[in-house]
Amino acid sequence: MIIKTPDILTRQFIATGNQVVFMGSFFRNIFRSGFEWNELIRQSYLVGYKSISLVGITGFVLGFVLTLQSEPTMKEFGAVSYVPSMVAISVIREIGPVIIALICAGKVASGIGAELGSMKVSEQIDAMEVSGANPIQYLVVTRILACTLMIPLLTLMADGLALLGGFVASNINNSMTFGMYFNKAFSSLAFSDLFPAVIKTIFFGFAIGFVGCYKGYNSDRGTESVGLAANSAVVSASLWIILLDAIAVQLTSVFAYN
Amino acid sequence: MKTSIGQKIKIGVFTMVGILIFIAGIFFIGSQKNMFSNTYMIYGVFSNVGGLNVGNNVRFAGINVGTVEDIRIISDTLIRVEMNMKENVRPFLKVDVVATIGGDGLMGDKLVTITSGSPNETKLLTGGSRIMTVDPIDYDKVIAKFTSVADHADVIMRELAGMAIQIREGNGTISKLLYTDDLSRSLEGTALNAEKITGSFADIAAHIRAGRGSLGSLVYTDSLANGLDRVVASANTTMGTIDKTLGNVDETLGTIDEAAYGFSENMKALHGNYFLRGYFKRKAAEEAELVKAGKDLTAEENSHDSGLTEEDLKEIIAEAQELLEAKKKGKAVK
Repeated sequence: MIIKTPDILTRQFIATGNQVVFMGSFFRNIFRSGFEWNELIRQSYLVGYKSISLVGITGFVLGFVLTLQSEPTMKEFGAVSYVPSMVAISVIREIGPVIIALICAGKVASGIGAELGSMKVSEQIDAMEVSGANPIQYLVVTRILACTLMIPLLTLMADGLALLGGFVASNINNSMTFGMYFNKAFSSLAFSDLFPAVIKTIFFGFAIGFVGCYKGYNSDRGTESVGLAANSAVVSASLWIILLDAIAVQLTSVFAYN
Repeated sequence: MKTSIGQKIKIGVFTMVGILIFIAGIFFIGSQKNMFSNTYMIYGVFSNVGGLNVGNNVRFAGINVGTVEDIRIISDTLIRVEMNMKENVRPFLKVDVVATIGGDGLMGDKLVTITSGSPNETKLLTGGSRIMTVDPIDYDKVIAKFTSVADHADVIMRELAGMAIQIREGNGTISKLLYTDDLSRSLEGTALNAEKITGSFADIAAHIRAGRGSLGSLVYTDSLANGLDRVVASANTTMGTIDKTLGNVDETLGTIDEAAYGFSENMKALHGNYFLRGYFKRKAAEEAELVKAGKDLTAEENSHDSGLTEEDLKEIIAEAQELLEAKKKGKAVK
């Protein structure tokens, strides 16, 4: 019996099936005894704490740039006083979560992909399996959970810093007190802006961790596959973030704004 | 791989900060929507809310004091709008306050504006009570009205344009006023005449002032007054003379009275005189006869006069006087 090289569609089905199996094993291993709390905290440290400076600067510059860019246009309409509201809504609803998730996809997903890929290539994962340790529970569950928990926190921090950046930017050309700026920013915000955004980032975090782990864990046994795993982890995670965002917008507009 | 204490602290701090930001966000948004302050509910009923949404602000005296909590359709013309009001405005919301639906500028959200009532009202709005409302302006209706106004204005402008054309073409009084100088020329002539007249008047006045002419003497000299004074004085003298004359007349009248008395005495004497007795007797007899005849006549006709008329009597008196004169003459002859 000759096994033919599967065509593109079949390969896609196989890949999807593999991912579903991988996700199933992830969920099973969350609730399995012997949860690696220590490793989870260490991964959270790596994913969350180590990304603070990157995400913080990104968030601050987001608010800063958005304010400076929109001010001349808003001035034409005599609506400069709406700039804080506009920045707050756009950053918290959409730009903050997506940009931070993409940044983290670049930093975290590639790191996880490369790390797990190299462990796979150097047969460390096989060794763990042989020695009786559970590599999924130790390597995958902790990383995915760490991403799922840390990305929302990073996004919230970036949102706050974006508002701060907006405040600094609006004080370049005009002068506005801190209290006034924050009052204006929050006056137009509703819970329907904040909650869907936070829930969305949880899924973004999961996507980053999951794609990174999957790509690394399933890399081929070749040196170049490490780089490939890292690369495809970033690409896939970014794509997933964009797709999830589109779904989230639809769900939000159906449930939150009506 | 071991996790160091430092790493644990760092991730703990980071997580706490993230959660704090989240809670702060919830709190800030919630405080804008009055979720964590004490509130009470009031409601108003509108027939049209003009695009008001749940979560829009409620303003009293320009201050955000609440949010729209719920908008429900009661019937096809009644919309119930529930509002959550901050507890600290309760003392200022009296029962006669009025809620209207307005907009926050041209681009802003809709909002409920509460205008304060009369200062004399003391009853406060209680939680769950109904607030008086005024329906918002329906901009479609306003625009329709403006359209009709514009139509009218169009007609008026066309009429005015027609009038302007007529005026320009030289029809009508206004046109003559604006485009010909007839009126101004005639006015000019009038003014010239008026000038001449005033010049003459000035001349006359100068003459009068100089004391020339009758009017001048009348106004500026007192010769007329003096003459009148003299006239009055001579009139006074004349009057005195007349008075005296009248006194003389009185005296004369007295003398006449005396003379008349003397004459009647003489007549009495004549009655008794010898020469004339016969005449008087005859006369008396004639009179008696006449009286008798008169009586007969009156008895007969009862409407006739006595017969002796006034003329007869006058004749008789005249004859008597003649005789008396003749007798006096006769005496004088003797």
